[in-house]
Amino acid sequence: MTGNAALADLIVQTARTWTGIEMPHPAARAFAADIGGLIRAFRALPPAPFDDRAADVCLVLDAYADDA
Amino acid sequence: MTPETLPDGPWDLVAHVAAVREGALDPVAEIDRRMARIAAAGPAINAIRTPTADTARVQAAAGAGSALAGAALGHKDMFDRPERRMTCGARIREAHVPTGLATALARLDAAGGADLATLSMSEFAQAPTGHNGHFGAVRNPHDAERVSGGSSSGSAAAVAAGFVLGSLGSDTGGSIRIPAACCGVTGLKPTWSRVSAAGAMPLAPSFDCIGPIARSARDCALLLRLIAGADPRDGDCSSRPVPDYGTALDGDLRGQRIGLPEGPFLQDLPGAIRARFDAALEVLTARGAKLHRVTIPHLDRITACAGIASRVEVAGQHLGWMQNRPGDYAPMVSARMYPGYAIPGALYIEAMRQRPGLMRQVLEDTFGAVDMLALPTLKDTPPTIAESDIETGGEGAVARFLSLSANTRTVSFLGLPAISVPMGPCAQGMPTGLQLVGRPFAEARLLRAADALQRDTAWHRRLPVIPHVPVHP
Repeated sequence: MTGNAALADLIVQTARTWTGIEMPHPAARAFAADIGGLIRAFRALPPAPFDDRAADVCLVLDAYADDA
Repeated sequence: MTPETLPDGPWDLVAHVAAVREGALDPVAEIDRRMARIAAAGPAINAIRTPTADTARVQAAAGAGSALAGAALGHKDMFDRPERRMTCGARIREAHVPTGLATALARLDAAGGADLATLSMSEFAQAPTGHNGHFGAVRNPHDAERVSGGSSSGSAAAVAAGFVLGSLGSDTGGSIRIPAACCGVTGLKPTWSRVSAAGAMPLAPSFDCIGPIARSARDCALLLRLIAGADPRDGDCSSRPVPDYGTALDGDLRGQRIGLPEGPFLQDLPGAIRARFDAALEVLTARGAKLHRVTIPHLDRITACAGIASRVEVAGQHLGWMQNRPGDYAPMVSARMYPGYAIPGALYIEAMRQRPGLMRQVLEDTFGAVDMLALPTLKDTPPTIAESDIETGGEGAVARFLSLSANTRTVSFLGLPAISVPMGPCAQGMPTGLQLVGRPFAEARLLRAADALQRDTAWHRRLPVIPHVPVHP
């Protein structure tokens, strides 16, 4: 089993554990693999080279507004 | 005149308004013509959910002297209107009848729009293809075997087929732009917070945008001006003044810097899409725009954060129904949401914490050098309904399903406005779209560029030939 396949299985199992919902449809595993890829990518990132803890999406949108 | 290059007239919203004002067009008779067209072609396309012709006739008569002149509109089936069924494309909401009125609909009503029907959509706005396991897939008016795109599937198909002159859709990861591109019409995802979401179905609230789908940029400009602006019912809604977008449409692109983003957006394009993309850029440069190569910083981080944040928000929105009525979702929808429940909350918090910084970096680095980005809305020809059906499409169906939003998802995470404009047929004669992306609140700039393209091309006026349906309404 590849790492991605194992991660997909783990994601499906975790979703079952948290929600109590059974999901027999095989597409769930394919979508889990997609999410697994995102989590792996996120995990592999270096620390963010910026820190905007105080920032807010609305403030950024306003600060860079293009009214031309 | 051929069916593919129609003159102005009742086919676009702005021309409708002008004709009614001149006394050349009766808006109530127009409603009846649209209904006749729906009766003839509706079943073949499956874009119409609940017709409301009687209400529309009353609105058309009353609205003749207003901004929309009683124009026939129809909207994605996810906006509250009192005493009208609103299904959200879902069995779970099949019998739901709202009591309130969505702000966007209220504003269109006040401007003299006639709401002709609710329009089909993917279940809870969760399929970029337009599949719907309960009510059937919306079929592309240009080829009924192919997807309409989604999730605002009925909106784009209904405009393309000439059932309505304009429509509201919603866009969380591409749900306005993708169907607009697939069906050969114009779709605008405004800046996040530009249009009130009050009374609209939420999907992933920090991504959701309400916006117009219509035949032309000019039509979208009119609709956006009417629906945008502060709303006390939506605390996130921006209070920035709303410009008259129509006045920006002068065809002049001198001084406009268009960025062609490095990275996956322009890679591995089929030849037909690449050719259409290059041809569209030629039109824009002939009108004065300059092209520049640009990079989007931290693209891997943006992609990961966008996927994590959106999947958690969608899963969270549906937790109650998923736990209590899981069998009432189509498997393609519940199977897609399901893994979202396994994403740790800490990852979501971190993705959201990084979001403003990522937005700032892109706005400084990328949009510091250009005024807008250009990229194809779709990276491939719209697939057939069969080959992209997750339940029956076999291996590769999930990949085809997800790939439809490859060029749209990033923009949604950044909250930026984007428009999809028809840029001519690709393989099998199917429409495809040029996507232009701007800085926050740059809708006027994007509409100007889209309109400039449409001044020199006729792709947005290409009416599909639907078997057994006359060209003229």
